[in-house]
Amino acid sequence: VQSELDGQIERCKQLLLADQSGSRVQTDIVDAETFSRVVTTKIPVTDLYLFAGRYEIWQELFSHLQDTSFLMANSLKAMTLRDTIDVLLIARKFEMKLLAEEYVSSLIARINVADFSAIFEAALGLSTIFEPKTSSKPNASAGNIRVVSVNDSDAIRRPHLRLCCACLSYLSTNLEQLFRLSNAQTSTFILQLLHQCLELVILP
Amino acid sequence: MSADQSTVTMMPVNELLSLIVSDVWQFQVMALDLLLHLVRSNAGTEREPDSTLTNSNKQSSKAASQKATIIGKKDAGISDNTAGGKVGRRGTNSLMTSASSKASNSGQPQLSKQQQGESSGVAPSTSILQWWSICQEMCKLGILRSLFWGLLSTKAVMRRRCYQVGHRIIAHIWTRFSFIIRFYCIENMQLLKEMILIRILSPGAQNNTSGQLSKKEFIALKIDCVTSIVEQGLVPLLEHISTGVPVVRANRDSISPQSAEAVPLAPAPLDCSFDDWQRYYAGLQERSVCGEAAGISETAVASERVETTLFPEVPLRELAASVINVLVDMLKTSFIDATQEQASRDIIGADQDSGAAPAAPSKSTKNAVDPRKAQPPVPSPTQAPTNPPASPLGVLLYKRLVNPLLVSGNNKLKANIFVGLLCLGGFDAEFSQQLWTVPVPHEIPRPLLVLSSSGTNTLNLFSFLLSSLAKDPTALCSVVVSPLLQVLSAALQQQQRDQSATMQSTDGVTAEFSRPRKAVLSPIICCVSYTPSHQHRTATSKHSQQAFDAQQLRMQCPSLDLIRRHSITLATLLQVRLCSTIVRASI
Repeated sequence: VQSELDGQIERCKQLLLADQSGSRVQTDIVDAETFSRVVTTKIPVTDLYLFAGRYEIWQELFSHLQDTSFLMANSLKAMTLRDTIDVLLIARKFEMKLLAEEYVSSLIARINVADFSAIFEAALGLSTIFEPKTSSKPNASAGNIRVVSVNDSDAIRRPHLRLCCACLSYLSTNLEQLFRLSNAQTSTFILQLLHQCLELVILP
Repeated sequence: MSADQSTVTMMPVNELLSLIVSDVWQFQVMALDLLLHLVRSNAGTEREPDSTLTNSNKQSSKAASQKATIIGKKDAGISDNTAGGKVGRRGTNSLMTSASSKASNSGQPQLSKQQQGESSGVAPSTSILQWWSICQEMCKLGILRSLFWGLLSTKAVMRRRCYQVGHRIIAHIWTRFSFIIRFYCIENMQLLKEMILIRILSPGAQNNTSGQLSKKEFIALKIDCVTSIVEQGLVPLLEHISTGVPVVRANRDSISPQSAEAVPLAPAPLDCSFDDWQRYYAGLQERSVCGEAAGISETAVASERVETTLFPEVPLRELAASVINVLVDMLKTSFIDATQEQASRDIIGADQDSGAAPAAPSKSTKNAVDPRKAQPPVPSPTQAPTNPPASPLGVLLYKRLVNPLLVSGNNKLKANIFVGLLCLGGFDAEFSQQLWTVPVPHEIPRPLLVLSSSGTNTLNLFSFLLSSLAKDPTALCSVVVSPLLQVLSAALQQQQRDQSATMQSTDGVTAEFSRPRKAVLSPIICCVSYTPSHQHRTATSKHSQQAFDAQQLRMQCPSLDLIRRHSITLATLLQVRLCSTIVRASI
């Protein structure tokens, strides 16, 4: 058994190395997949990457990776605004351009008086995602755990131009309604977002 | 004007300037011709400024000069009594021009200023004054707008005249050496002469002799010119002119000479707003796109006697670019001066506040400052100046632009200034930084609602502007939101063009990445699931952080290849981790 396991490990290493080099791999893929799953499920969670963002968000994201557009559209409709923004942040962090554009389109379709400020905030790159509070460096108490942060990424701090344009377009046609129906705090917040938008445009 | 026509034309200034904004382009050309003759008589030279544009306007020049003669004869009775007098503020006096196209076209030696003054009955110094006054009138009456829009006229002769007049106005008003140098290539020796003349006329360069502008008047003229360009919304127009628009035009060989002069475009609107020029340029670009969509490629163009070119011509674009550069330079200096002045005022104000307590201690307040314990006063900047004093030109220019932006009731004016500053900020990183941090003048009352800038607690120009517009959504929309939307839309279009170009060039690479591979390794990650109460976040408040120990869950990822198709970054990250995990497990 041990020798068989050693052989599988060796094949798995070769597979990984070959995969990294980009060449074609002619090994027993089913075995390698099964092996990696078995091995990785047995190791403690402290040896895994701890990703920022909730479990449900990542589930949605991974399903979108392999989903058809029809299913993805339905899934996006069912998601809350907060979840859509979170999943957009993750997609932008990891440069999933196709998915990010899908999420942006979904957000644009959802712009309304109630959700405007949250979407505009996300468009300007000011939104943040939930991150577990732990050190990003491995230490003795936490084992080999390593948190993959999203909020510290430059990619999500940049404004998203298409979403910004959609928000400003909505603002230019619905400003009076927006200010009339919103409370004073939200109106002030929208003005502050406009100020941030100006800063992004003016400052290099 | 023909060689045998040496005409002395006398007409009121207001009529001449009103002709420039006429709907009839021939009248416009005629009026600009008359202005040019005046400039030439002042500058003591007759050389054409741009040799690339000289061969297209002889017919029109002749026609215009004939019209000038006719109008001059019509107006002679009105303006006879003002010949040789000073030019009034609102066109009550006359402008006397001496036109001699013979000398102009043949390049013969020019008359001296004195000789010209004698021939036209105007003393040289008075002629100079006339030109300065006309410049000022043009700024105040909105003639500059027509002049710059004329650079986009369908008529080549009109574009040429506007270029000539615009160039001379700018060259005479702004005496910056760098600016002159920029035009040197176009004007050659002509500019050297102008430069010498400008140095003589410049108030600081020489002693102020009688008949020249005082320093105060010179500053006023500069400020008028700069503020006119910004207030009339000409900055974005100049930017577009300097960039140029690709247009499809017929080859000169295949069409008549008359139609060859005109680029096939809709006439430029004379009275234009920010939205007008956006629509106008959208029309221009649609034309060029239609040409491309119709299959007019660069190679096919030559055979079909159609070519794609940038509109307007190179010298005109250079003129617009130079005007923008000068505007940026002047405003940059102005904003530095304003910031310095504001800082010195703040220090003086702080001194006065700290000095007021010992001078008049309040007996009623319990916290009155004990004069004996008070710290020695900080030396005021007037006692020990550390910075050079702010230039009056800079501070005045700053106030001329900022005050109407913040307190004017005219939304169109506000929008023009706002857009102008926004555009100019895009040309110079240093200026944009100053634009963002420049303080608001003390004279302007503070709004009730105060927006704080990110990172600082100071009230900058734009937070002030937004605060002041908060109660008027219509004004906020027209002044800030619409221009901002236009800017971002333009940036988005550019980004999409860049992305499509990048995708075309990296099609092979993309195909390589998207090619399905056989390896289907699936790593496992860990995520945190937290209670719904922590999920709720408002737009303003940040979410709460939660300890992850009790709630972290394993999750099987899709295969690395599938992830790699969407995100190389994530796939690489997971692959490295998976590799190390397997190695650790095997040990």
